[in-house]
Amino acid sequence: MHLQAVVIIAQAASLSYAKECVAFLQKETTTPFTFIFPSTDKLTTTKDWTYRKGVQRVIPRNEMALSVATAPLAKEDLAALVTAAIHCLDPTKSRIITVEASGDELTTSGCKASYQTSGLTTSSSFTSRK
Amino acid sequence: MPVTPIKPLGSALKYMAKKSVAVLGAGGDLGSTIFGSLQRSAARYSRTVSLLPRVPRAITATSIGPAKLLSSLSRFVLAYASENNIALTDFSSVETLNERLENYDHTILSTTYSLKLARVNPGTYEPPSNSGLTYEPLMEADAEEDIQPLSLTLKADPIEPDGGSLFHRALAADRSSKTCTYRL
Repeated sequence: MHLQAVVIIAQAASLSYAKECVAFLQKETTTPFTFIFPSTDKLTTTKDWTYRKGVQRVIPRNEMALSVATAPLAKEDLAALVTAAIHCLDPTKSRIITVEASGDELTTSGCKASYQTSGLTTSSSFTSRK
Repeated sequence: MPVTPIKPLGSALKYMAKKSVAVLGAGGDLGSTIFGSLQRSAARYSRTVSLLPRVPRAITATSIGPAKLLSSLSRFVLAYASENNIALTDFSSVETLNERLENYDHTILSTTYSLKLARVNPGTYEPPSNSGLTYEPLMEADAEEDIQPLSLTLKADPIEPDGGSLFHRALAADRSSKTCTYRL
């Protein structure tokens, strides 16, 4: 097996459990990981979402913490974020991405703008763990 | 907002640097959405995610997973999950899971899965066990009442109390490989 990296979604996870998972990953494994932590446990569905719209209403957060905002995160956005992470982020480094839903309206400007909106321009936007 | 060129560092960095991706628990609504996004990415762009020969793989346990996956893929235009995309796997076996992840670059996991007790399909990954039942892990946003959520701890596990959680086991699958290049 030549597993290069794992992408882990901490959905519906408490902050303490998510930190426990990160600690396990950092201590027990050498495989680089991308740990995506939605700061809300509320996920919703965007009905008019298409693949070409990419990441729509996701904004990064600087620290791994639960958000007081109650806006639910779209599952489609989370899926697009996972795909964008595989496309854009260096698979040799580990990182933790904490995201929350923005209150912006849907755009139709395409994936590149969406990547930029979500902060997926460079890996330096995130906390590098390795 | 003006669009600025981005410099990808992942699978979009080089033309031939396509990555093969496996999604564990793709039968859930979140897992199927992720799989659909990856499959569309593989079909749409000449780089990024590998379409052939190592297609995006949906790893499920029983026929419930593919059925839920196909019903959820309707939101994606032209997305599909053929027989090549689906690997039925015994999640209680590290060796089987390790075999399914062989030669795959990326694995998509969730820290939390919903478990649905289902009958093992004949002619799938192995002969059915004595009970003929197994747990179908689903990467879902909301657990239903009849679905037993996977343990929220890394140690306890409804499938196999001594074997670690699915999250733990999936990582351990690589560790148990004798021929792996990257060890967890």
